[in-house]
Amino acid sequence: MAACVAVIAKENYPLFIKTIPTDNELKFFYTVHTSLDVVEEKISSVGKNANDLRELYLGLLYPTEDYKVYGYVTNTKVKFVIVVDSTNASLRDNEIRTMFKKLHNAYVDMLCNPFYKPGENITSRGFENVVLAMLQQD
Amino acid sequence: MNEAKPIVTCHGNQSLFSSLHTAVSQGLPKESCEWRRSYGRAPRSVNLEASFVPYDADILPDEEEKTLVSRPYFHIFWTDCDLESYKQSVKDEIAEWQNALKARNIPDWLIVVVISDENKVKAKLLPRASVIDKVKSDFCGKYPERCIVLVEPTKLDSKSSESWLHLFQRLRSLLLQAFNRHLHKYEESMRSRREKRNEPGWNYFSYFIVQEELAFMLEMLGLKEDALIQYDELDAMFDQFVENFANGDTVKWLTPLMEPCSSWAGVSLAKSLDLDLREEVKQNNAALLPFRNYLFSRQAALLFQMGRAWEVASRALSYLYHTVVEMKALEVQIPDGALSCWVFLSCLEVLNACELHHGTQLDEKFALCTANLWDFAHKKLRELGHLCSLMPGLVPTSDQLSLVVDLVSGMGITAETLSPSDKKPVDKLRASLSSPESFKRHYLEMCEQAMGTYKYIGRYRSARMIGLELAEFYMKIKEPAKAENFLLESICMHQQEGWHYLADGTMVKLAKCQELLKEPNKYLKTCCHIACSPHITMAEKEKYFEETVKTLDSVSSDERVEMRASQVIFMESLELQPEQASLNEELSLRVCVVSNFPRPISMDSLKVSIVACSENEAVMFDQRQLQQKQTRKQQAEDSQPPPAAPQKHHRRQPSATHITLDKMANFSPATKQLPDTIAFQKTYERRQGRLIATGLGCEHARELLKRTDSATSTGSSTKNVVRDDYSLCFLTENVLLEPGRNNLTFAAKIAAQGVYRLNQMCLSVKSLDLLKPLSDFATVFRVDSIPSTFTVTPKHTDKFIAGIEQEAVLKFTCGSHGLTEASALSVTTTPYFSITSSEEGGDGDKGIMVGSVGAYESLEIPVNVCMNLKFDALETQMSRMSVMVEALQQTLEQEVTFVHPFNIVHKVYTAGKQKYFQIVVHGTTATCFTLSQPKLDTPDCRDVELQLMNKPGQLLLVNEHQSSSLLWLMSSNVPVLPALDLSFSCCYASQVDLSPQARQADYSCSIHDFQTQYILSYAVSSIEEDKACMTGETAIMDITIKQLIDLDLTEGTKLAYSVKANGSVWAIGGKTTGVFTMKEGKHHTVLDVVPMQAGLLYFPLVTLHKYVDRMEEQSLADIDGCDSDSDSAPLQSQKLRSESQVSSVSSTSSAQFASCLVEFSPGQVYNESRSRQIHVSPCRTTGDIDVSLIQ
Repeated sequence: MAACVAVIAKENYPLFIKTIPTDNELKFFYTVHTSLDVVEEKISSVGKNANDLRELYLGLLYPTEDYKVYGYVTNTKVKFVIVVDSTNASLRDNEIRTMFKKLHNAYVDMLCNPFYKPGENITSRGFENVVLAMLQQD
Repeated sequence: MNEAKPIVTCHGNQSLFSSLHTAVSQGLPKESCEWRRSYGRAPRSVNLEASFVPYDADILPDEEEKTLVSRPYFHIFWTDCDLESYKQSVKDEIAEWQNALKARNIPDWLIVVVISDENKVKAKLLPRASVIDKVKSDFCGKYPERCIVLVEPTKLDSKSSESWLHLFQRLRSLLLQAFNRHLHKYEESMRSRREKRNEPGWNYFSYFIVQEELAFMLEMLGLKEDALIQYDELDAMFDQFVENFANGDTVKWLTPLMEPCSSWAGVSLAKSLDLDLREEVKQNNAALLPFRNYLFSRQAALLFQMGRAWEVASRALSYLYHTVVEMKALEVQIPDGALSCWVFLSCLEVLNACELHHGTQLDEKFALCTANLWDFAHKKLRELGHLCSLMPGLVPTSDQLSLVVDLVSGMGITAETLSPSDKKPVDKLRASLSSPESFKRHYLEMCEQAMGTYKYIGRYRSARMIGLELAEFYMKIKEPAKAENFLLESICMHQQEGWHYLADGTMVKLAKCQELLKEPNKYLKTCCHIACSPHITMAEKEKYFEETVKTLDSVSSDERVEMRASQVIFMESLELQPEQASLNEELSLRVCVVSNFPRPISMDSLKVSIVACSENEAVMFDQRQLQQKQTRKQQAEDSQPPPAAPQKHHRRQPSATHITLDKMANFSPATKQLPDTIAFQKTYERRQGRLIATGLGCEHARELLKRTDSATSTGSSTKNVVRDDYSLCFLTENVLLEPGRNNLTFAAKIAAQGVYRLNQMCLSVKSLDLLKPLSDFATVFRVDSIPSTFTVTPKHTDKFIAGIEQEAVLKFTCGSHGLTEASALSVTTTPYFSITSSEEGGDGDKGIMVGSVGAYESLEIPVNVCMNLKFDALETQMSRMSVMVEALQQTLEQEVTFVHPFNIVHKVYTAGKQKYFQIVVHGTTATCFTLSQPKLDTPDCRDVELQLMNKPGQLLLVNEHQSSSLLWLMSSNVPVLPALDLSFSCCYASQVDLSPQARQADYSCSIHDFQTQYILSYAVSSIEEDKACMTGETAIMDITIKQLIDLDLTEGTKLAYSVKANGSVWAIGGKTTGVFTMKEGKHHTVLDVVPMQAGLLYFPLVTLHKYVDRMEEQSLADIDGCDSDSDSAPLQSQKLRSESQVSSVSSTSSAQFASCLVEFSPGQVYNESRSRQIHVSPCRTTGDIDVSLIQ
């Protein structure tokens, strides 16, 4: 389903990145990192009318030939990025939204762990399983 | 197509119309009118335009005709005839025209009657007489609105313009009606066609043409937005079909699109409508790419018309991506690279067109969309470069060369596009593919362009990505110097943002680049970094570790290479022992370091620099120390737990937070480091003594909980690390640093006192210095100077004993400053106190020579200590000594306490006239002293003879458990002795004493008023002689006082006696006290006493006092004052006196009388009968007498 799922901290450093098994893992890293440009753009453009209830889902950040990159920002400015194969036409906006919702829930569950310090890399197995399910689901 | 306008036919007077044509065609679009539409679509305001053509019955469309654009929508009949001609010809003409329209079922017509002469109209009184009335009645009976009058159209007066206005309004509304009707019909049929889309035989492209017709129509009406919607709908529909196709739902009309592609000309936006292409599409001949090109060019054309050039750019990207995906989905055969060519060409075409339409104002919104296009185009070019081996370092094969030819031929180069200028995308691509040189030029240009645009809109991450590509390219064309900068920039950004995986990945590229650059210093650093990276595979790490070691050998050793050690090592723990050190003391620092090198590496030296703290830090450190001490104390106090007792400070375990901190070397995290202690305040709320609420508050909560802004943290995170001054440092040398955890111990000595902290760690391997700042650890310690001290302790005893010379030890403890060379200790003491070195004969002046002594070492010097005995009342004696250490220029003072070995007291005893003098020597120490040759003298008086009563040669031993007593009999030659000064001396010796001869102890005292003046004797006897006393029977107490010597030599000395007895033992009859005067040295008194008890009873106690007249009271006090002085045993005398005072008070009712009694000093009155007893028999009578036996 998804090719890469990433959680990025408020300060834009990665908390968690999982990709489908591939030789070119670095490519996904670059893609996710570059997508932050667009995420920031989107966040800052919304920020101008402050009272708006911000939509967490940012939509398609940018398409590439092979992949589509979707973004999602929590209220604490933790970013989720999901990269999906662009040939997979079955993934519509709604499916992506549900994926993000699931990811967000998993993240919140993980964050509730009192032993996790916000800002540390995510090592929770529960969270990883959720992400793996997203990557494998086809 | 822009010029296309709805067609309106004109009939009637052609010359009239041609004169009005311009006015009509110009006036019609001047004002907009609102167009309400069916299906709840939003009303639009439209500026209607029309092209007027002469009427011809042949061009009238059939009702069935489904065209929209080319159809004449409206028909106008113009006439300016008068009534006569109307009747003659025009009426028939109109009728014929009407019939023709009716035959085609066309309801959209209008008859315009132009009246040139107004007067005529006015003059007519009858309404039915004018042409207009005729026309109305003849043709427009049902539709009065279809006939309108135009008054004097050529004039410019208000009447004329008003009638024009009317005409236009009418025309517009009727036109709209016509359009509405047609469109409605058209849409209906279109919809029904669309519904059939899943039926076999349905063709998308015929439908496409139908809906496009609608779009044309809307465009014609100026409704570009709606026109665009039509295209978007078509677009979406096509997508759906392709998607379905990919899922196995094949349709026939798609097959021509799937034929092998032979042309990959890019989209052309030069013309707004490419009719040739449209024809192809219509015939279902177009391949996918041309169809897509056509569709996009139409959308773009509409967008350009709407002035939304930026949207063209933004749509272009998804269009390109989408089409590429569709090409794959439809499995269209296409040569390698052809699609890239198409994308590249299309990108450039869109960009050119956008630029053209957008003009010079390149705003951000626009750049936002174009940036991606540039990026996409340059990527495609790169792909092509790889494909055709145009990238540097590749040699094209013949296949690749023929591929280039194929590709170029498929670009759709026509004669008209063959222009000499390089402007056209096709030319650019062809030129790029023609040779590696021009490819390089174009590629770099594209990269620059893309990067520049990204930077312009602030997408730095994307820009850096291209930078990386450029770097790669420069590496290929062997210009590593250019590449390095791009790589560094990218690494810097990735590190700043905490993407170490990317940063380290790029680092490998940098290493390769720097290797080419032949900059060993930089290369060394990079290799070292890679070797320690946790994000890189082990094999790569090891490779670069070897590189590091190799490079280290090649770098000249006199040049130091400095580098941050944050990647290389992590500090796990750091422990300084002790926190409070003294000068020159060995400080030990234990550090647990995690090495990230893949193999063990031997470090030449490891140093930790020490810097002196600023005053502020020092103060803070001291405060913290104090606080810790207090909390420790408090904790100790609280250890017997009062369970609810809240601790003032909550100690927070650091829980290894610094490790995570450390790992993010270049990135300070948002989570603030919490302080060690957080001050809490407890609050209790009580009501009527009952606790109703408790609380715990933190004063600095706001400060502690404040969010740290990430914006600041990302900004200035990379500080340059400069090598510290390592003149003062902890040091270990030649350490083998194993991969993983290493425990290291450092040692240092500090030669100046103060507060210090650890600042930096430096790990040196050959010429490489790895620097690690330690200031975050806040390791502060204090170095104090400890002064030298000395102590003197006796060797054999626990205390110094005064009066003898003792062996002792002078212990000299060197402080923080050692004695480097031999030095003399000169000892000075207070008088009577001497210390001499026991080693030599001891010239005291020169002092004691000592050799060199290290810091904190001590030296023991045997000495002899002597304190000449000088008896005081005090048992111990303090004495001072000071030692001057010449080498240190220091004088040390010390108090020495001496204990007197024994304590001498004296006492005088009396037996009648005889006097005895006793000396008791009490020992005070455990040391045993032997006394000999006791001697007592009265130096001033020769009339006294003292005779020692002790056995001659008696061994007198004195220690703290044993005292010695010496008794002398005093006999005098003269009756009256003055006050006597006595001096006692004896020799004493002890084993502890160094000198063999016995020493002499002296004691002197004086006694006075010790001679016996009166002898008091008394006896109790029964009244009857030779009869025992009986209880209850009166007995006689006979008191006799004899004077031995008369000191005062006065006859009339008044004396007083007093008798005291326990009332239950003796009842005393008569006066218990009495004053009397001696007569001839004698006095006799008799008293009656009655024994109250039987048994052996002590006599009642009789005491004698001097009686002083009241006049002499004043002097009495004086006597009282000096009394104690003269007393040899002051304590005893005082006790006696107080007793006597009490007794006198109790025995005498008159206080005045008591005050007149003055005691004799002890020894002056000798009571012979003291302690005598009498046997009292119990009463023989049978009366009730209690008998109690008293022991």
